[in-house]
Amino acid sequence: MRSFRAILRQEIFVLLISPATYVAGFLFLLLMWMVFWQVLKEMPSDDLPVSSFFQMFWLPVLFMVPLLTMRSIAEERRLGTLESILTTPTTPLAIVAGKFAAAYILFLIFWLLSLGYPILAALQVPEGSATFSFMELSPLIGGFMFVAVSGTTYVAAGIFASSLTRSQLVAAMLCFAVLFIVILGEQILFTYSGLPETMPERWQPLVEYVRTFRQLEDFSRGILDTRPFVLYFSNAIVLLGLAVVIVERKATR
Amino acid sequence: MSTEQGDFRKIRRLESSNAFLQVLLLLAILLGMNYLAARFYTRTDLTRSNEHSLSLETRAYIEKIDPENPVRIIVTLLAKPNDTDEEIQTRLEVEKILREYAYHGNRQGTARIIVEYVDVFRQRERARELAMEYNIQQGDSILITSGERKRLIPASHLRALQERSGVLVGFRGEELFTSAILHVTRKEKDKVYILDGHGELLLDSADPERGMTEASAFLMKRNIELEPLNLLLARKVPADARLVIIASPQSEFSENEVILLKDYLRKRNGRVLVCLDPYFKHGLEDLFRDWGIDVQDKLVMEPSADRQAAQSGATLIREFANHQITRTIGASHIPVLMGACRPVQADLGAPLDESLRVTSILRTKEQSWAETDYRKLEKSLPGPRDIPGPISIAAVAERQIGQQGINIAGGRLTVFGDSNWISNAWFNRRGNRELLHNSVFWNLDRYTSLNIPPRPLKEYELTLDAEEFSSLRGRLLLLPLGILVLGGICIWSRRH
Repeated sequence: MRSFRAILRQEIFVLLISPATYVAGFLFLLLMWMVFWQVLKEMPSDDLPVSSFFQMFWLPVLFMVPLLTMRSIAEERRLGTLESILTTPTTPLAIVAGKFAAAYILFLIFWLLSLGYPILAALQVPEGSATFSFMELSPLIGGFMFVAVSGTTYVAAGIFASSLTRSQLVAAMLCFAVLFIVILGEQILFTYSGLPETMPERWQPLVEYVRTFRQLEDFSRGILDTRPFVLYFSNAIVLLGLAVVIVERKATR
Repeated sequence: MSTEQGDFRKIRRLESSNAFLQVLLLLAILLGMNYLAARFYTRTDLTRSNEHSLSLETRAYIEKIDPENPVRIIVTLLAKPNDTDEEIQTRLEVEKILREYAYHGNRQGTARIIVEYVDVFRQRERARELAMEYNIQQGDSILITSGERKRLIPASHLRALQERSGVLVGFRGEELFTSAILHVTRKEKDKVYILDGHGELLLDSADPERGMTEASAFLMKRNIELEPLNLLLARKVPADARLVIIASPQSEFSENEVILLKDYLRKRNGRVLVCLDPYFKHGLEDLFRDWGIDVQDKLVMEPSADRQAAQSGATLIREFANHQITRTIGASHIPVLMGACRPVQADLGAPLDESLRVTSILRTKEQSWAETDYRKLEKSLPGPRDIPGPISIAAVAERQIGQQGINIAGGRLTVFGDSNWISNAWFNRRGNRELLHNSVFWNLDRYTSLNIPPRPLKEYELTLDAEEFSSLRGRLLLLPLGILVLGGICIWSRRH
């Protein structure tokens, strides 16, 4: 536990003093600014702007998560520092968990900052100009909860990808590909393929269970469902577990 | 040396199998957790007024569904490239609300409600099965079924439109789905008695004018048991009577019969549906007076705009009240075809009775009138003794029972000023089938008076002028710029 805390502290410190973090934060918030602005421009709408804002969560996730995680283990392996760390009483689990926690905290901080848009809009828009409240709590909490919950799997996928290779670039590309398939795969399959035609009826509940956008639709309306919690947390545990196994194996080679 | 190499290989193999087992264990945990999560889950609505949740009433009904006979909801709403906004919105609302039904239907991992989406164009095999099994001929509907019972809800019925403008203002999904679930899970058949002994329409006669086999076959398919009843012989309304239909009596009811009907309506909260014709005396005046309905001995005259209808002596009715019986007919703009009618309206001289509500449900056009001297009719213009249009030709009277603010539906009397519309010759024309369907179902409480209002469909608007928009855009941009400045300060302070 002590080694986990030490790694977490070190990782967060490195992230906070790294100019790349602020550049990534700037780019992330700029992207979210464009999304929020587009949502406001397209009003009137059947959905609250906050709900529509979270509907576009995949766009920053696809780019931000690979950037946040690609360095974590791949860089240690490339520099050969991973073996050095493992000679201390630090376990592979503490390394993986520490790096995951640091990346995940930064991921949450970025998203928390992006909630500044509805808050700023609520402060700036003159009273009576909107037929709704920008600070409607249920979609705000629900949308953020979804991002936080699904973020565990996405960040864990990034850490897992980073543990597979010594190259940051390969880790980032791998992570991007995995996230693309996990988040957008079902949309593409349902829209462009003949999946519904060939899919047996008994598979329908399984497909419904993993459909990201269905879950997001509920959360961003303010409905919390326990199933995505279990799905994303268990996936994160498995991905991090696999990363631990890989770090262990590589370190002993 | 070779022993050492062998030991290393053994250790490697052991490590590999260890890693393999770890991976297997992780996957087993993943599958196990998710299997359980899919069966045992909860949903929480964070909105202040629980606006996305099902009503307590619906939840209570779902709770009562027998897990051995689950309700299947088969959705065949189609996504087409030229879908209107209303159609897209209806489809989305259906998907959202059915997730709530599936959730509440799931208890301890047993599904009481199974929702299936079928694309009839892509899933050809399944579409064929549905056509064979449930006789579904059209897409764009929702079939709710349990055992042998079923109810088909067309997508158009789900939309609540503003009365005059026809603008979509709400979604009636919960009301219709819950009502359908109640219908398909009902075990017993409803018994409806058709009175005879006064020259009424005959239940088993195929005669186009005086038979009603078409209507009876239509009702029997909907799990309704029909039986003729002669009150003079039976001397009572049977205990299992859920509805009594009086279709076109040609002679007067006796005093005793009227008392029996009155008692059935008042004391047993019975339901009576009467279709009368002009020209004939019926002897039911007392009963009607008791229920606040005025059936006058006049004939409704209407300068028909529909030449074909006029030639056949028919009246096309296009004015419908916003009542459970006529709402869907009015919404689909299908007229009802009636023969010669007499006026049926609320009795304005009836004593005040707070428990009684009388609603006129069908009206003729403004140009029509109720002719008093219709027996010696030669003229074609309204006279001073006639009543100017629009004329009410059907009315329902319903009594509420209960006290201290708790109201329960009591007896109901439905009266139509014409009977031709349920005869074999007329029954399958225009909106007549739907009118009988709705009238009978309403009387049988199959549209159980669910107190579930349509869910309002909101549209969120933001009204800003160009200057305010540009100012807002600039201020929102402060957020990413702020991060850049913060990063700059951090790095600068660290270096110095």
